[in-house]
Amino acid sequence: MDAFRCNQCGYETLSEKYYCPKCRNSSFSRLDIEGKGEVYSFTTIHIAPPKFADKAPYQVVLVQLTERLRVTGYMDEDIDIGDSVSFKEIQEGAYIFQKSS
Amino acid sequence: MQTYIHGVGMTQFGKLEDKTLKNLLLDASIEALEDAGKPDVDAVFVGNFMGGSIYNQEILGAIIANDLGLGYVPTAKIEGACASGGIAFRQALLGIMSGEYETVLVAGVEKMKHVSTVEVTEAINAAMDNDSNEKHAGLTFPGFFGVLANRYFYETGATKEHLAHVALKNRNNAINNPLSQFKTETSIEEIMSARMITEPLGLFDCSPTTDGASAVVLSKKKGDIAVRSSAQASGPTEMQNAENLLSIPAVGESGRIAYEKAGLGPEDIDVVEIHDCFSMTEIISSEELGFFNRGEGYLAVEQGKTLPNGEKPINTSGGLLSKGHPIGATGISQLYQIVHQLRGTAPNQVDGARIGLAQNLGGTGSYSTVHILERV
Ligand SMILES: [Zn+2]
Repeated sequence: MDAFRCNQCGYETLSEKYYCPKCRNSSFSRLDIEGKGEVYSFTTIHIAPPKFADKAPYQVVLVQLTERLRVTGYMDEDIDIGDSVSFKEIQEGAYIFQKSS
Repeated sequence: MQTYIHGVGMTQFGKLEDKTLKNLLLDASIEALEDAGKPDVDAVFVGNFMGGSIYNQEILGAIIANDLGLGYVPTAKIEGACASGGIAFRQALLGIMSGEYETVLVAGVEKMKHVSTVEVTEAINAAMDNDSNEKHAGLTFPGFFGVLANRYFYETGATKEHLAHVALKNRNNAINNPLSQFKTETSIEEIMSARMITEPLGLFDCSPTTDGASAVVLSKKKGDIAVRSSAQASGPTEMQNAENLLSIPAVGESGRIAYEKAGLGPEDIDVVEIHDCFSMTEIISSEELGFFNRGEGYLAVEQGKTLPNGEKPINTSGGLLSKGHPIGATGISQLYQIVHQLRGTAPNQVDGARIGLAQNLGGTGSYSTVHILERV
């Protein structure tokens, strides 16, 4: 799984930014991260946007992937804060996670 | 330079099928102008979020100037999602402080009840950064606050019942406010068992869609309600970029600047309107604004400190949750309530209120304004 790190202050981000939001530096290095982490928080969405209506209820998770990187993802399993999850794939722009076995 | 609020106006909030967007805008503006003694106005600012996207109506400022015979004065519409009203007020204030204007009319308006829930939800989602993986993950606007609430529960020991107490307080306040959208009594049990929107937030934890408008007249001429300070700040537009999920930095920063400019602190504030788009948001922002320690806002609710007769009355109007949330009008309607509190004529009047604070939030923490008013 790809991520980016600011070469000046170490800020980590999922997508490469024009400028680092912390220090305004513009050079980033590509990181190859394992894609394993813990559920930092989540919600189960019952009232969904039209595109997601047939999937509801589903989980939107905020996953702590590295010390400095959290990623918002999609899951269709019951989960709780602190559960171990791993990155599965990108589907139509969404980061899909699954429970780690 | 000191500025003063000379007049306020507000329409009924709710589902107003027989009123057009223009009706609402003009009704609130006329009330504010008459309350101010029909002064000449040098400019008009309008807060509005979705007039273009779901009502196909822009040029709102020019419509007011024309229909109310204000002359060829400059006007502008301000968009800042749910903070459109607060930002419009601030732009008017800055226009006066620059010396360009003496007296300015600020109005906020929204018409939301004429379209389907799906359409209005799509329009509201414009207040998120949609060029990001978060939208593709199915995150919604309420969903952000659901994620925040679950983490808040995890870290503090707060429960869904604490959120229910916020919703119940604001409903009870709204029952006494003739202009509010919801006036039926409810109970903790009903709130707790209502259908889920985004866990742990149920129907009563989420502000409704609403038609309505509000307006104020602001001037550098002496009046009896002074604007002690105005501040605005921005914050993260994506949930995954929040350094501390349990903080809304735009709220904290706008509060800090407003206190500093006024030479006041949270302890000096007698009455507060906080942007409770969700029950959870009221608690987090009450901490951000320094009324309670971080992670303890839910305890203050439990102890009744935010009730109209409590030590820090919050949302005596009924708040967004029960007064209603016509997006562009909300920030101005908060000022309407604070002005009435300082005049001693508000629903849920706080005895002897002299200094009031209004905080208006846009997006999931993208914008926040804070205004501190004082009776002089
Ligand atoms: Zn940096």
